[in-house]
Amino acid sequence: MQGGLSEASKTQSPSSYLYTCIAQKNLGEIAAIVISSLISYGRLSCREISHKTKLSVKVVQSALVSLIQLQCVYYVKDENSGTVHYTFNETGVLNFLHSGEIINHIKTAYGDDHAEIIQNILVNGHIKVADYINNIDDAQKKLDTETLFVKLFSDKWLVRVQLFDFHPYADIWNNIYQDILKKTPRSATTSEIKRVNEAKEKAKIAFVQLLESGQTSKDLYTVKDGFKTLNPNLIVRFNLNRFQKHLRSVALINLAKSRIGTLSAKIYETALNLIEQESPDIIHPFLQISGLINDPEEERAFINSIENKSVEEKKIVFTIREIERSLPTDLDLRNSILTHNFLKPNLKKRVADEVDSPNKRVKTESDTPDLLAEFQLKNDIIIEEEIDTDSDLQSTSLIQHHLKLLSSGSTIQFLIEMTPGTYTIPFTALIKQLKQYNFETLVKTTLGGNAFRVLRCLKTQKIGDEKSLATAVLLKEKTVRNEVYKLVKANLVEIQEVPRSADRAASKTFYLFRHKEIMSYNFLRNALIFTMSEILVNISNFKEDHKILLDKCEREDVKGHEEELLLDSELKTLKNLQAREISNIGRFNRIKALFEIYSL
Amino acid sequence: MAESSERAQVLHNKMLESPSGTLFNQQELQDLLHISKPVELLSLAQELINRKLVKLIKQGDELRFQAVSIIEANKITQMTDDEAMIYSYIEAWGREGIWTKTIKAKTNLHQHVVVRCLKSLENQRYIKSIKSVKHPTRKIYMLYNLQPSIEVTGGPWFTDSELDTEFIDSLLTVIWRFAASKTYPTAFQAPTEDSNPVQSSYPSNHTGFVNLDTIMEFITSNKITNIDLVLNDIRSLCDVLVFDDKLELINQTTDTYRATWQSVLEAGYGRSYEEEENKIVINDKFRQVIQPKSFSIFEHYKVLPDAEEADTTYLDSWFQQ
Repeated sequence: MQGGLSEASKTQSPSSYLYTCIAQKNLGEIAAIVISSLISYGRLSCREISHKTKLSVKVVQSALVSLIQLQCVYYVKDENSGTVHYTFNETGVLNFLHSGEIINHIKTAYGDDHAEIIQNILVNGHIKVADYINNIDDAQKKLDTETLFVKLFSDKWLVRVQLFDFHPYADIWNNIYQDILKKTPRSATTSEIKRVNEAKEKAKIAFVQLLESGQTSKDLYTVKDGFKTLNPNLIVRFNLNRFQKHLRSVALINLAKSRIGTLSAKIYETALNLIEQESPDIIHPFLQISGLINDPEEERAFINSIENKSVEEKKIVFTIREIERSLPTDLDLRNSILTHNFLKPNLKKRVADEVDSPNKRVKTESDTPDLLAEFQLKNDIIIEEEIDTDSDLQSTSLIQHHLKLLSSGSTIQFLIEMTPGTYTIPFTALIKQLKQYNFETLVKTTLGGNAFRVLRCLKTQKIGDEKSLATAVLLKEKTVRNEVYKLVKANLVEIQEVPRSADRAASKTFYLFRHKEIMSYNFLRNALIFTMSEILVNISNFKEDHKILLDKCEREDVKGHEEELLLDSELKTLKNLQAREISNIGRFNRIKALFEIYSL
Repeated sequence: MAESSERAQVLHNKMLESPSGTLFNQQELQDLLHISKPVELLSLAQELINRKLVKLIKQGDELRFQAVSIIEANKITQMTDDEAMIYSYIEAWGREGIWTKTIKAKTNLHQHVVVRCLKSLENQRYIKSIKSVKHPTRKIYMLYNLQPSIEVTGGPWFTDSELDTEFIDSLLTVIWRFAASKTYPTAFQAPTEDSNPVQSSYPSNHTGFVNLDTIMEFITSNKITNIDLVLNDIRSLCDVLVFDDKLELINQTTDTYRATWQSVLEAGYGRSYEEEENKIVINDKFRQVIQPKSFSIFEHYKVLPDAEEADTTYLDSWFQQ
C-alpha cells in the first residue's frame, strides 16, 4: 500500500468525512480509502479503483468482497463489455453508525437473545439462516433461535436479501425502463411524450413488482409439524429502514413530550409502536432514483399518496381500544386531565348527583362496539364525572382525553381523528413540524433567545428589514442587527439587497432578510455531519496520544490483570481516558439524534 | 369705537362659547350678532384680529375665523412679531412638534433670529423642546402644555426615547406567568392530591385560556404598571411571547392564547416530581415508565456542560474552518 487516506476524503463533503471516519474505525484503512475514492469518483471498476488509490488490484478485490457483503458497496455488471462497476452504498456505513443504538433498542424491546442475533448479523452484513442455526449445538437452543428469527423477521427487523439488493436502484430502474421503452412501439397516432410516459408507468409497476418479489409466505417460511420457521435457505440482513422508522417515532415522541406533556407522549408512544412497522418508508425507492420524480410538487403529491394509501389500507390506523390494551401497566393517568371541578370543587357534588349510576356502569364496564360513538355524544359533565370516579390507573375516557389533546390540544396536530375512536398519524405533515421545532430549539441553544425570537418573527413576516423586525420583536435596533448578523453568519437567513437609486449606491441601499427552510436544513445537516466526524477524529486522536499505555493494556499478559501490573498513575489515566471516550460518544450520539431528524 | 369694541367683545364671547377650535365662516359670524351687512362685520372682525383675539385661517378657498382666548391673545401680543410668527407655526404643528430647520424654512428668518426667538419663548414657558424616537438627533419644539404624540414618543415602550427593554421584559414575564397559570394551574404549586404531578392538562375543549381582554384586566386590576396600555400594546407583547415560543395562539381564534408546555419546562416548573424531596409523589414503577430513554434537544435544560474543554465541539466548525 502506498498512499494513505487522502485529505480529499475529509474535504470533498462532510458526509464523505463521516463515512470514511466510520469505515476507517470499523473496517480499517483500506476500506476507507476504497470508499473515499468511490464517493469522489462515483462509479469505478476494480482496475480504476486500484489506479486511483494506488492499491494493488488484489487488495482492492478482497476489500470489495467484504464491502459488498456489508452493504457498503453496490456492483453492476455492464452487459456489453462485461466489466463490473462499483458504487458506494450508504446503508452499510449507516448500519455501523447506528449499530450501538440498534442493538440497545432490540435488547430493551425484545431481549438479549434477539439482540445477539442482530449483533451477529450486523457484523456479518448478511447471513444464511441455516448457517447461523447450524452453528448452535444445543437442540433446544436451536429451536429457540429459530423462533427468535421468525419474530424478528415478522417484525421486519430482518429482511430477505435478494440479488437486486446488491445493485443500485438507479441501474435496476434504468434496465427495466429501457427494456419496456424498447418494447413500446412508436406509432403515428401517439406522441413521443405519451409513449415515454406510458413506458415510465409500466416500468414503475415492474420495478415495484421486482422489489416485492420473493416475499410470499411460501418463499419465506417452512412449516414443519405445524411449527412455522424461517426457510433455512433464506439469506437475511438487518433492515435499516425499519430502524429509521423507530428513530422517527422517537423524535416524534420527544416533540409531543415537549409540546403537550409526558403522559400524553407516553400514549403517543404506544400509538406509534402499534403502527410503526407498517408506517410509510422514510424514503421511497422511487425518490432514490434520480430523474424519476423531479418536480417538488410531484414529489409532495407522491409522498402524500403513499401516506393516503397506508391510511386507506388501514395500515397506520389504530383505535382507542388497541391503545388501552398496549399501554404500560404502571402508567398512572389518574387526575392528569383537569376538569372544571378542579377549579370549582363545590360543583363536584352537584354533578355527581345529576348523573345516574347506570350511565357510569355502561362506560366503565361494557365493551359494546357502539361505545365509542357513545363517548362522542356524552356531554362534558358526564365525562368529568367519570374522570373523578375512576379508580383504575387508565380509564378509556382518560386515554380518549389524551388522544384529543394530541389531536387538537396544541398548534401541532399529532393525530388525526378519522372516525370517533379511530386515529391516524399524519407523518408527512409532522416531519415538517418536527424539523422546524428542532431547528428553532437548536438556534435557541446555540445562538441565544434573542436570535430565536428574531428568527421566528422573520418566519411570520416572511421577509423583513431590520426596522420592521425591531418594532415587532420589541428589541433595540442595535440588538436586532447583531442577532441578524449572527443568523446570517450561520447561513440561516438570506440577505436581499434592495437598491434605491439608479447607481445602486451602497449608502442608499437597504437590505431585506428571509429564511428558507430547505436550504437551512441542508446546511445544518452538513454542519452536524461534520461535527460528528470531528468527534470521532478527536476520540482517536486522544487515544493516539496514550497509545503506549493502551497497547500495554492490550497485551496478553496484562489483560485481566491490569490492577496488578499497571501503576497507579496509569490506572488513573486509563480511567480518565475511558470517561473521556464515553462522554464524547455521548456527545456524538446526541448530535446523531439531531442528524437523524434532518435525514427524514 | 367703544360701542363697536363692546359689540366686538360680544362677538368674541359668543365665538368662545362654541367648542374651542371651531371655525366660523362669514355668514355664521353674521348670524351670531344678527348683522345683515358684511361691512359691519368687517370692522368688528378687523378689530378682533388687531387685538389677536381672532385668527384667520384659510380653508380651501374660503376664509374662516377662529376665536382665541384672552390669555392666549395676551401672550401673543406681548411677543415680538418674529416670536409670534414662530409661535404660530409651532402651534400649528400641534402634538407632532416642529423641527427647527422646518421653522427656518417656513419663516424665512435667519438662523440667529430663530434661535433667539425659540430661546425667549422657551424661557417664558410658552414652548418646550422634545426628543423624537424617529429622529433622535433633531431638535423639535411644541407648545408647552401639549403632550407629545405616540409617533414622537414611540409609545409606551420608550422611556426618554430609548426602548425600555427592562420594562418590556418584566411585562412579558408577568403576562407569560399569568397565561401559564391559566394553562397549567398545577405546574406552579407543590404536588397535590387532586392532580397528577407528571402532567395535568385541561381537556382539549377547555375554554378558560387567557385572551387580550383578560390580560389587560389582569394588568390594570393588579396595578402592574402606571403607564397606560391599550389593547394593541398587549397584542404586540403577546406577539413577542409567541415569537419566543412561550405562548401559542389557539386554533381558530384571533386573540386567545395558551402557554406552551415547553416554556413551562424551560422556566423550571412542571418538573417537581423529579426533585429529591418529592420522591414519594409517584411510585418507582411509574417513574421507570416515564423515564426518558433518548436524547431530546427539547430537554436541553437538563444537559450539564462538559468539564473537558478540549473536547467541546462547535456547530459552526464546518463553515468556520
